Amino acid sequence: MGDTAEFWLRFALICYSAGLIYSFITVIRQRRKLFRPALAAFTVGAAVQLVSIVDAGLTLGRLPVSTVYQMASVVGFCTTLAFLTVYWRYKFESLAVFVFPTVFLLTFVSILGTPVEPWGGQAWSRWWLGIHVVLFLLGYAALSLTSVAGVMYLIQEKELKSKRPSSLYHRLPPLGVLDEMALRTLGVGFVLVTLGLIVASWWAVVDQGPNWIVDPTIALAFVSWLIYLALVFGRITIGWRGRKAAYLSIVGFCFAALTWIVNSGVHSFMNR
Amino acid sequence: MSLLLVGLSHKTAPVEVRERFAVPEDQSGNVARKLLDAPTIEEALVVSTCNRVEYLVRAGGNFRATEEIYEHLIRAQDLAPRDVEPFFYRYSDRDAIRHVFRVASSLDSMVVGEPQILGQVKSALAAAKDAGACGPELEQILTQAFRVARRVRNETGIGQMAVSISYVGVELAKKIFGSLEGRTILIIGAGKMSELAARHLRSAGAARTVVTNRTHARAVELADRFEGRAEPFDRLLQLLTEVDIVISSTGAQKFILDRKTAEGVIAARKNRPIFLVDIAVPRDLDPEINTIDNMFLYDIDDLQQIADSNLDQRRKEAQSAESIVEEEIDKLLRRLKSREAGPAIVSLQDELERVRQAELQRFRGKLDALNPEQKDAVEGLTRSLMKKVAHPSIVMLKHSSHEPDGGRIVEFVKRAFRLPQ
Repeated sequence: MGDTAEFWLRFALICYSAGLIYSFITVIRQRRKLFRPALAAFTVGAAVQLVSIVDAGLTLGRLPVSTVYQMASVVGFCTTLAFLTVYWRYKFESLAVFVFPTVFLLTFVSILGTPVEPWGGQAWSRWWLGIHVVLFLLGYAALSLTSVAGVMYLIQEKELKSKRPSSLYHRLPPLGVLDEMALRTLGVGFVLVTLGLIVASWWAVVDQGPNWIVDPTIALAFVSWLIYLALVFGRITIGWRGRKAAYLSIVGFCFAALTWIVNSGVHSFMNR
Repeated sequence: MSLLLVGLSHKTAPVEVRERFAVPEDQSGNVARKLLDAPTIEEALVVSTCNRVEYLVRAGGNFRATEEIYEHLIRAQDLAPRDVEPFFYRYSDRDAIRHVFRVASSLDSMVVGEPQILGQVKSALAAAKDAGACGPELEQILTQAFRVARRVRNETGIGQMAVSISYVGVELAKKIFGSLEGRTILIIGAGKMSELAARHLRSAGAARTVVTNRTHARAVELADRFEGRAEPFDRLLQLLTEVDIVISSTGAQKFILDRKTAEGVIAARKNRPIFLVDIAVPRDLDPEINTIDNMFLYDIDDLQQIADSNLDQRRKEAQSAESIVEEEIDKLLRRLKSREAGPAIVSLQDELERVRQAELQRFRGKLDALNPEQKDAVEGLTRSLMKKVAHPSIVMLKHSSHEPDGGRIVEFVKRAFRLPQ
C-alpha cells in the first residue's frame, strides 16, 4: 500500500474512534448521547477511507483486496456504507452500537498490515504486553460475572415459572437485580476486552510483524469478541433480556474460556 | 422462685370463648395489678391478643396461685370454675418459661412466624411495669424472651416466607423486579380482591395505579381511591405494553388475553418483564402465557399453593427454633439460680464471721493473757476453721445453678445455717 493511502487510512481510523467512544458510552452508561457528533465523525471517516482505498487501488493498478489487511479495509468501508445507507433511509440509530466498533476494529486491523519499526527495547514490549493482559483479565472477570448472573437468572426464572419455589428461590436475588448486574458487567467487560484486543493487535504487529493475523487462536479471540458484540447489540437495541440473554452470556463465556485455554501461556507465533 | 402461667389460645379455646376472656389492651396493666391483691401472687403480667390470653405470675411459697387466678377470672366473668378449667392450660417454672419464649417467638401462633405477637408481648410488659405489677424477675424472663424471639428470627427462616395470598403476590413481584419503586400496576376489573392486592403492592413501593373496567364508571371510582387513573377498556392492549404488574379479576367467561396476543405484547414491550396475577374465576388470562419468556403469570391457585408451601416451610423452620428455645431456657435458669446462690453465699459467710466474732468476744478474758504472736495464731486458727466448715456448702451453692433442683439446694443451705430468707 502506498504511503498516502496509509496516511488516509490512519486518518479514517481516528474518525472512527469517535464512533467507538460513542459505543462505549452507550454500553456503560446505558443511555445514548453524543450520537450526532459521532455520526458526523464516522461519515468523514468513511469518505477518508474511500480516498485511501482509491489511492491504494491506483497505486496497485487493481482492486486492493489481495491481503487480509487490504480486505479488512474494504470490508470495513462497505459495512460503513451499508450502515449509512440504512441510517439515511430508516434512521436505525441503535445499529450504530454494533457497527461502530466493528468498523473501527476492521480498519484498525487493516493498518496493521504495514510493517512498523520494532520497539525501542524489551521493556516497552513488556509494558505493552502487560497492559494487554491486565485489560483482558479485568474484562473477562467482568464477563464471568455476567455469566454467573446468567446462571443465577436461569435458576431463579425456573423457580418462578415452576410455581413451586424451593429454598433456592428465597436465597437467590431477584431477577431484576440479576438482569441489571448482567447488563452492567457486560458493558464494562465488553469495553475492557475491546481495548485489550486493540492493544494486543498493536503489540503483535509491532513485535511479530504482519504475520500475527494467521494465528488461529487470534481468530478465536476475535470470534469470542464478536459474540459479545452481538450480545451487547442485542441487549441494548432489540431488548434481549431474560432467558435468551442469559444463555448467550453463558455461551459467550464458554467460548472465551475456550479461547483462553487454547491461548493459555503464549500464542503460537511466539514459539516460532 | 415459682413461676406459673395460666392461659388459653386458639389451640384450646374457640373464638367465642376467647373473646369472653379477652382483656382490652389498655386494661392489661390494671388486671395484672389487681392480681397482686391475691395473697400468694407477687408479680403479674397479662398478655391478651385476639388469639390468646396469658397470665404469667411469680408466686411466693405454696401453689395457691392457680386457684387465685381462676378466682379472678370467675369473679370477672361471673362463671363457675368448671366453665373455665377446660379451656385453660397451666404451666409452671421451666414449662412456663418455655411457653413464654415460644409465644414471643411466634412458634405458638396460628400463623407460625407472624411478627405482630412480639410487639404485643412487649406492650403487655410495658403496661404491667407501668401499673407496678411486674418486678425484676418477670422482666428478666420477658427480656430473655425478646432475645429468643430475635435469635429465632435471625437464625431460622421462620419469618421469611409470605403466607397470605396478597403477600405472596408482593413477594413474587419483588423477586421479579427487585424493587417495586416506580412500578405501575394495572387493575383489570374493579373487584374487592384486586383492590386489596393492589393496596399491598402500593404499600410495598409501587408508584402508580391504572384501572380499567368494562363499566367505566366503576373504574373511575376505584382509580379515585388509589389516586390513580382510569382508562377505557378498549385500550387494554396498549396499557399492557406500559405497565409492570397486572391484577386481573373480571367476570369474563373467556380469556381476555390469549397466548398469541400476549406474545405481541411482550414484543411491543421490548421484553421488559411483566408480572400478571389472575385472581378471576373463571380465569381471565390464558395459563399458556406463563411459558413466554419474561412474562410471569400466576392464578389464584398458584398463589395459594405457594402460601401453603411457605407455611409448611415455616413449620419446618419452627423445629430448629425449638432447640434455640430450649438452649435459652437453660441459660436463663442458670442465670436466675446463680442470682439466688450469690446472695446466699455472701450471707453464709457473714453469718459464720458473726459467730466467730461472738465466740472470740466470749473468750476475750482468757485470750487477753496471750502475747501478740499467740493472738495472731488464734485469729488465724478460727478463720481457717470457719472457712473449712463453710467450704462444702459454698461449693454446693456455686454448683447449684447448673443443677435442675438448684433452687432447693439454696433453700436447704439457708435453712441449715439459719440464714435470713
